[in-house]
Amino acid sequence: MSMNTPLKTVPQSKHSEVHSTASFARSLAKRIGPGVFTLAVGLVLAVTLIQAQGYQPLPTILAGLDYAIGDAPSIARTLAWGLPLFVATMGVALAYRSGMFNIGAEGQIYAGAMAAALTGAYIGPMFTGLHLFLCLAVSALTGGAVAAGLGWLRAVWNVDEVLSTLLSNYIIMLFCAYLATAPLRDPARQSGTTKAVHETAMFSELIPQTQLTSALFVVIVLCAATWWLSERSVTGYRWRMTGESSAFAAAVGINVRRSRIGSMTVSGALCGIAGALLVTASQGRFWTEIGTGIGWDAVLLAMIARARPLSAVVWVLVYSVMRSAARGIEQVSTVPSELSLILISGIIIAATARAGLFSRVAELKKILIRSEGK
Amino acid sequence: MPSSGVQDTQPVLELRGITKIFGPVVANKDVDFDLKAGEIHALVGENGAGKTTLMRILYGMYQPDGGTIVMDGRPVGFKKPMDAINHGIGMVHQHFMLVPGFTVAENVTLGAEPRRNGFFDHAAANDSLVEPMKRLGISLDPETVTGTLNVATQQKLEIIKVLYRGAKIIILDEPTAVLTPQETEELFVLLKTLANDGSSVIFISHKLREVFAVADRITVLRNGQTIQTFNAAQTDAASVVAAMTGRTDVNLGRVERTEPTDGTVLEVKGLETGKHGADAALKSISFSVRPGEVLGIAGVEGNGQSTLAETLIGIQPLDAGFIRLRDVELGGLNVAERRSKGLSYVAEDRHLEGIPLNGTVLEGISAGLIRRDSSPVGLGLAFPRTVRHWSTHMIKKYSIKTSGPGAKCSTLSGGNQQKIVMARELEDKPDCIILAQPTRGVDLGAIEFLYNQVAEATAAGCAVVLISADMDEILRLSDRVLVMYGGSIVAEQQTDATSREELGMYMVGAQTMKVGK
Ligand SMILES: Nc1ncnc2c1ncn2[C@@H]1O[C@H](COP(=O)(O)OP(=O)(O)OP(=O)(O)O)[C@@H](O)[C@H]1O
Ligand SMILES: [Mg+2]
Repeated sequence: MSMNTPLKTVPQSKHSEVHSTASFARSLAKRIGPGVFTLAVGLVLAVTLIQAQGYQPLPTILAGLDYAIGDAPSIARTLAWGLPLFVATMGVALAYRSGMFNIGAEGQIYAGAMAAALTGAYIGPMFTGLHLFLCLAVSALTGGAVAAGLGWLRAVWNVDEVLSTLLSNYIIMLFCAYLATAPLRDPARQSGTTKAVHETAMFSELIPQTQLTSALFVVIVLCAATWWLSERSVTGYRWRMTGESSAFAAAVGINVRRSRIGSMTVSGALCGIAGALLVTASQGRFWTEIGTGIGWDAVLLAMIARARPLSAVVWVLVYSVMRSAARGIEQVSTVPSELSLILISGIIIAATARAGLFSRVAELKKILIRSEGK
Repeated sequence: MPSSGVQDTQPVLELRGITKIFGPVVANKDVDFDLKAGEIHALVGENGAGKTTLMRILYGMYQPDGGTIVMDGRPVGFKKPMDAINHGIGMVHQHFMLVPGFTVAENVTLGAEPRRNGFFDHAAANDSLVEPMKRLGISLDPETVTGTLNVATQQKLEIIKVLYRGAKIIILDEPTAVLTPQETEELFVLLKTLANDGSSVIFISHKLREVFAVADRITVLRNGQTIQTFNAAQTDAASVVAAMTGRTDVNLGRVERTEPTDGTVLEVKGLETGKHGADAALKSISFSVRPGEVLGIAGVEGNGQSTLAETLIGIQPLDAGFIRLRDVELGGLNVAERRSKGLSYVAEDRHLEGIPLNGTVLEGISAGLIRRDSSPVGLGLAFPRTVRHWSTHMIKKYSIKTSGPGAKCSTLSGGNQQKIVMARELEDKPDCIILAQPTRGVDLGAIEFLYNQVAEATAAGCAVVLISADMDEILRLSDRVLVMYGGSIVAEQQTDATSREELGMYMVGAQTMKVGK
């Protein structure tokens, strides 16, 4: 039930004049319809899986939801986990809009996390605001530079960005792992982590014991800014038209190369910041497994949201609740928390089948690649 | 002369009171239409009159909101195109639905493949083409890869495909829009053969010359309603035009224009390019256009006209030569820079280059205004109130039939999509505009309006390069004509000193004259 409510507000760019209440209701139904459908598919899947493990579906799901959003601290915990994912999903969606399939989000997140961890540990301590700003800025630059390079390869040399971004993940993650296990390893720890960052490079907690930090405000600002950039601004128009039809864009005088490289750069910068948040709003240092696959989650969520920033926000919310609920379910039953992953995959297949959203077979391939990448 | 295979019998097909509503738009309102065995029945009407919608209902692509389809006296209902195909109805869409990498035989049999032991049966597929090809009097190698065929042949392939599936009723939605005059003639011969065989053809076109050349009867739609069905032999163009537009003063002849003045706006010299795609490479192209002059460029498609247009606007690079717009050298500039120097461009492929098909009307029509935003980061609002108002105004001024600026471009009828492109480019108030096939798929009333807009622009000194495969267009609008053949200019004539026939000779390369200074 509570899962349905956010969807009521799935807002998409609506310029069209609404002529009558009837047609308004119809268009509303059209907009909400797919979301409800995919969620229903998810629910059926969840029920089946829980039943298969020999538990009563409804009480189990309710217990899970209670764990995820039962009271204020639970909500804060759920939200805290989702913060980097919001930023990364916005980033990936932005690139999609200009027709660039940035599935290198995971790698850009790692690059950003490493950059933030180093800036936080080796520079300072200094005034908190400044130190945090520095961490995020360096991460954004790092992630942005990586993605810009990949965008440039596509725009100028026509190197398929699907392949190049995919491969970049492994290169970057391995390189970061090398840094964290050899030259930059924290000698006080056994495993592959870097030195802890200074206190001044950490966001402060908003609600104690929940990990929800003031990074929340940064995330809100970034989401709003991305929405404006993508859906309202002149630059966003150019990027969207490039994604819509690059031939049209070229003919009306939009610089297609610049759009592609630009959107990839900002996309990478956002992913980099998502990585920085993993360090500065949670872990306090870089370690080799810091990303836990949120880059891949971002790729999929941006796809379900059809790259629309506002529905991306809604879907990240839904997904965060699902993840958290799955963890809750794991605690009261033997249903593994991978449930949420199975669900999200099911939802994606449902969404894809439903609207025939992605005509390119390549996109389906990417789903497969993703499950292997896990 | 129209074919005369028509029997005065019961119609094979009747559409009774068909109604179709899309949101606020009533696309078909109580439409009646009937078709007899062996007749070619033309369906005409202005852009957005509801022709395509009606045919899609007949073909099972849309469900009607009211009315019935009656075949051989019995009411039928088509939930999907397969149902219509099973009732012997076939449709050739304006955008072909062929798989370029498949062979002719594979494409024709696609969806109804002959099988042997569960596998695609090549021999049977090849054989099954023989009969429809014989009926049409054409021959194609079944093993040819479809993508290598030209547009006209691909269209014939679509017709073969429709016949292969046993169609007795064949719908062609604006089939001639992509054909040269010669190819159009060939198509007509083919359609008449079919009609004489007892099949029925529904033919949609905006060109009355074609309608009268081929149709037995003509049904006119206006605003989604049937206005009248004419016997082609007993009526004339003027009555049909009056029924289509509700006006009697539509100008179908030469457009009234002011004389060009002295000087040079656009000067092109020694233009050479490489070969891009299917079109010919340019060989030493030189011409100039005066203020207020319309320079027509005629030619059979594929002889370099598309390359010329794209080279002028800067989508394709040039290897040699120069392009000067009022003494500014354009050669090294990109599209945006050329446009800001005063060049404007109506692309020939509107779905690909003209409009963002899945974008909104607003996004398509205001591209010119947004291009002028020169702020380095471009974080300002793309569509401030002024731009929105402007676009609403343009929709009115160009009578673009749409529910509003927020409507998706793909929901507009073809002609109305073209008006978006023309509005955007003409309202840029350019010094020089390149028009490539500017009125393809546009109805005759709207053509008159667009020509008048062009005339107004030339009166203000705009130079026009008019690239068109439509001879009437060249003769009605241009002052001077160049003919392109094989990437070169083979003839130059004053429009009032030449004729359709003479230009035709140059177009097929049967004749050349010394051109250029
Ligand atoms: N899928 C759709 N959704 C909304 N409106 C539509 C849709 N298809 C057609 N229309 C509207 O219905 C009307 C009739 O369109 P239709 O395509 O049938 O016109 P047409 O006579 O074929 O015009 P043209 O000569 O330009 O091809 C138009 O106003 C068009 O905008
Ligand atoms: Mg049509």
